[in-house]
Amino acid sequence: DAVSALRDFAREVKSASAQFKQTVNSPDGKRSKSSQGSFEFQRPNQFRFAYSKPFEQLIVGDGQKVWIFDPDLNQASSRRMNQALGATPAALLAGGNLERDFTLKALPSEGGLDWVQALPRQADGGFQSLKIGFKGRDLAALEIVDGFGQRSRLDFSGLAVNASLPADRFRFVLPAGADLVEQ
Amino acid sequence: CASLAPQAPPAALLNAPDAVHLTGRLSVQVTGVSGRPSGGNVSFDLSGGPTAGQLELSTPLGALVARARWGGGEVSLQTPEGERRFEDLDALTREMLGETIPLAALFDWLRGQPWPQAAHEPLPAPQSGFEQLGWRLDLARRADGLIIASRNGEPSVTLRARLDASN
Repeated sequence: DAVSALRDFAREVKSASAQFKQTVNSPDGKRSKSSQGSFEFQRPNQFRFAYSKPFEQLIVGDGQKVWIFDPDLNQASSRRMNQALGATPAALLAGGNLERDFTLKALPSEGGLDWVQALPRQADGGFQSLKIGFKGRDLAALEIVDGFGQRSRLDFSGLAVNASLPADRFRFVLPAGADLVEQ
Repeated sequence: CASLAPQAPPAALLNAPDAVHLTGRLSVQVTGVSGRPSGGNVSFDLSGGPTAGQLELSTPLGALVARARWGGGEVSLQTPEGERRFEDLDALTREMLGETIPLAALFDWLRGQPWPQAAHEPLPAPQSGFEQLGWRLDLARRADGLIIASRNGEPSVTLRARLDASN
């Protein structure tokens, strides 16, 4: 079932890359936003979300800090990782210790995927629920419902696991002329 | 945290004929004597108007982190930690963005126009923009949906907004 698929994923997949499509639905369900990009991670705690549409935005976790860069605003912000990562989706996928941070519960299959719910052991994860969908043993989707009921779903495609990813994929270099704000 | 029971916003006022709905990304930089800016960048969803409205801030990864509502003499801010009330919009924006931002004027500023309720001074050519309420509005890249509002002083504040194309 999906719990064993997630455990295998956490144990066997040391790094991965994929494309993603994301849909965020407002709590009242009336507004939704779609975006897409590429996602890479390497255990522990190194990840890269590179949004390409509808606008560019880069989120890099280098193991110590999480960097967010918005080219249109020409500004980057950085925040210490433990403060930023905690029990977040990035920690679930790229974290070093799944069972320490989350309790896992199998859910019914739905939409052709087997689902597992990950409940953060650290209560202030800031979200209500976090579900991971598997197609067989392959990570296929992630769904996050935050404290307000805003629902964000990421659907992955083109998953490649355990490829060796160059170290600079998980390093952020502030572009010349861009401002940096540290939180 | 327990799910925050969504109170009904003053819908009648939110959907008033002159109600505005603007979405995009916002960065706020506050630079004090230390010279090290603080602030951050978020996505925003601003609706309604100065008398009644709602402002939601989300992280780039799509998590809602703050929802402010005002109307009928009440100003409230919901965050995952809970809900708090504020005296006025100035106190609210100081809590949300780290510095007092004239929210009532923002409805017009984000549309590249001065707020009608206060005097303003156009910037001398060839610059594009105006000064109002002690803020300088740079509209040079308005065609790209980029609006830059800056206020000198201690601390200095720079607010950059990039409107979504769909506005």
